[in-house]
Amino acid sequence: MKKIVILIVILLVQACAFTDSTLKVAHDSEADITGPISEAEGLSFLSPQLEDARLDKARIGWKKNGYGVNTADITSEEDVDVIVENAIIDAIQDNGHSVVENGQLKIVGTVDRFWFETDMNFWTVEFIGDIQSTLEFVDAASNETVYQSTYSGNYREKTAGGLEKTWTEVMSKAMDKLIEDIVFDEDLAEVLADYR
Amino acid sequence: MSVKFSQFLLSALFILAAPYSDAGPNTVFIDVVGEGNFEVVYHRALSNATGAAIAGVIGAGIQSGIEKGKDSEKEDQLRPLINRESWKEQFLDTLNEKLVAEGYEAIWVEETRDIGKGIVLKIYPDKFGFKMVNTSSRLVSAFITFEASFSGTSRNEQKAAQKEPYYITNRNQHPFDELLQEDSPVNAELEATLKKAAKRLANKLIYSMKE
Repeated sequence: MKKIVILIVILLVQACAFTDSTLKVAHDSEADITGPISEAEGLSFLSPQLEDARLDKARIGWKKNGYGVNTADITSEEDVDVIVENAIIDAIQDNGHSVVENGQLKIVGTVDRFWFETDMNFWTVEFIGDIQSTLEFVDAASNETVYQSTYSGNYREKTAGGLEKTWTEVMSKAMDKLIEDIVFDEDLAEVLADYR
Repeated sequence: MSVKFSQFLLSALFILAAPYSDAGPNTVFIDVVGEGNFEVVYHRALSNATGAAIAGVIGAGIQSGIEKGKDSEKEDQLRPLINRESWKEQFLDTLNEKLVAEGYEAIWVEETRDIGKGIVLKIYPDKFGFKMVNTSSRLVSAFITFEASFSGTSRNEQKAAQKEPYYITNRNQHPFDELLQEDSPVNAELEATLKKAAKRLANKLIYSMKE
């Protein structure tokens, strides 16, 4: 009986690897990440406009079976460019700036990577969220680029195992780290302070 | 060894021999716990075993083991080029400079017992090296991972201090073979990443104290 139960559990678990998973990834709006870009307080921004520049836009990760064969997609509920745009809006506001229709600066750019992966060990699994974005800060009046940089957010969690809830948390924390990379960019802070 | 790093060492020797009674609230006691290990993540970045955890840990574990073996070969190629002193020297010098510029006094200690006042910053180096950041162009960037916690020195605050993981990559990207050339950018890239990481950590502490 015990063997049958174990067999059923294994079959059910294997079946999970063939079903697509959709994750509700979002930056934690409660996180309130403030850094050097807050020094140039009071700037106004247009809503960020990003493009999804990933080569593979169909998914944010693969499910694989035990032999390493891709079996199903991991996708995000919202488009990845929208997820990053919303996170940037939060970050701008948390740092004393505003996002308005007639802002002084616009933020354009690309989401270059938005990937969930797993580093397997024999007894543990490391879930890794990895997000990269290129941002260009442009003077809205003259259309001149005042600053450009690439940013990355990476979060890893080593655990005995985990499913969609854990994967979502890992990707959301990677989003928070991406925002941290922007907010703590001292070169950007300097440019914004001068711009003011 | 730089002058600033030497100053750190002298501070450490002094602190080990003296009480902390003159430490103020802006004093940051920095305790580095352990060493960072050099690592290359190349083949592992090309293959991700998502879902394998559910479908069969052993199979994916073997696959991962093979990829780790290939990455070890790349580590062996780069290891002779690495300046092993960079971690503490570059990281702590930059951390010190940044904190001092913001009005903090940074003191490197080898243990945090008996500290009466001030902030205790504990750094747990993990890995540093190069990781493939663009799988389509196969370019690698320098990276560093570590954990850190900071708190006031009361027992309650120390207990409440949470370790936070940091993963910092440098913006420059290189083909792996470029790192093996005669004028290899390996150390310059690692140093830039260590400095970026130290500034990030200092700013995290500074802005947390402002909140």
